[in-house]
Amino acid sequence: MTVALDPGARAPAVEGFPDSFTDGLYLAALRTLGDAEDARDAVQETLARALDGIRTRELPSGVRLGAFVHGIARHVIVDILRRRVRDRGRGTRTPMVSPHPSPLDQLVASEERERVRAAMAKLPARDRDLLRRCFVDGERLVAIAAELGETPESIRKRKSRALERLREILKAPAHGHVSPSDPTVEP
Amino acid sequence: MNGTRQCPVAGDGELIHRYVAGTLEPVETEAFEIHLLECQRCQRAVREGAWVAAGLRRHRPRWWGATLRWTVPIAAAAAALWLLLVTDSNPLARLGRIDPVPEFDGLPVRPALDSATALVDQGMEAYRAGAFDRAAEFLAAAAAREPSPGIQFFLGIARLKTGNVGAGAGALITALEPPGNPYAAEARLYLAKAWLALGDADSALTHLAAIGSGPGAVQSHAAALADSIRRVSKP
Repeated sequence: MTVALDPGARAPAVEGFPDSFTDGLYLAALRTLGDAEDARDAVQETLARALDGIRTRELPSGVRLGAFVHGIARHVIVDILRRRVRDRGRGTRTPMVSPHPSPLDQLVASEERERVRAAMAKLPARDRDLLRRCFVDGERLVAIAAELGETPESIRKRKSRALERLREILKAPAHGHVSPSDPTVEP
Repeated sequence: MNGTRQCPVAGDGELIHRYVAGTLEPVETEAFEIHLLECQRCQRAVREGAWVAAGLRRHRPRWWGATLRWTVPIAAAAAALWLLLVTDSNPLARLGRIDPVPEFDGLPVRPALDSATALVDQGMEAYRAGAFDRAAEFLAAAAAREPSPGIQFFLGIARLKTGNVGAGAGALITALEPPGNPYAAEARLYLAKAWLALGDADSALTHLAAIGSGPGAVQSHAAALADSIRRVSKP
């Protein structure tokens, strides 16, 4: 999305602006902050500052709105991290966010995690190993392919099929109606 | 981009799974997050990836995540004691030891006595002398006036050296911003050591993997440390 500001006009149409950005901002904030409450605060603060910036024409013409908002979000997130450091210095509570498990694990309620784990157990071990190497270890497809003596494209297809199998298992009646591609936890 | 149109990023999927795993390099993360703001397809894919990762990971007791904020101060105090008592017999803690500390080669200046620069000078003088408690006090005051990755980095090291693992890691996390700053890669290396001090090899490895294209010396140190962690973590 590109927003060009016309000095003579009102601020660009931003109706729905928070809706279209809220989820992406929330994921990014949660990824760094590891705390759902702080992530929600970061989203609200970022959108408020972004709207203010757009209204006061701080967004240069031609600058992508996403980059503008993300830049604000980074400042907001750093402010929250700094506040945590200050709080720790004063001995008040501050979480130290463990990158492992991922802060994004908070997107998955504990009962859902058990359900996904049960579905995962029904996948062939080969699929499970591949998904682990991708989503837990974060390996590059090319590195996995080189080690397994396959092409990156075949690894990509295998990963895609493994995810499809997992979705099918989760859609089965015994697993209820919620699939991971239809996440239920909203910011 | 809405959910029905093809997204070139989601089509490959590698950025998404590496984002979920936390192994994207800082520049890649920034570019992907900007894209993520507008792409509902990638937002759904990230959420799905989080489900997959959560379903694959070894179960960690609930208290680890839910009450971390309470346990960290206790863990920090315990870690200090632990470092004293157990370091020599615990290989992970030994790998987490920071000895020697990163060097600082600042040039002498004549700043105003109450300026951030003066506080940094006093903090780094204490740091060089090994008085890490005092160094942390001055550097925290300096960081409050002028937060910069360099000040946060040395504040983090000083706090880790005093056994305040949570506060040290907090300062090092702040030193990761902005991505690509000269202290970011080394901050990750010492964040890994902070997690080793708490006995968490997985988190340490995640930080080491995220160092990516840091300076050569940091990269080779990180690779060697990761190898050592894997070796001592083998069941």
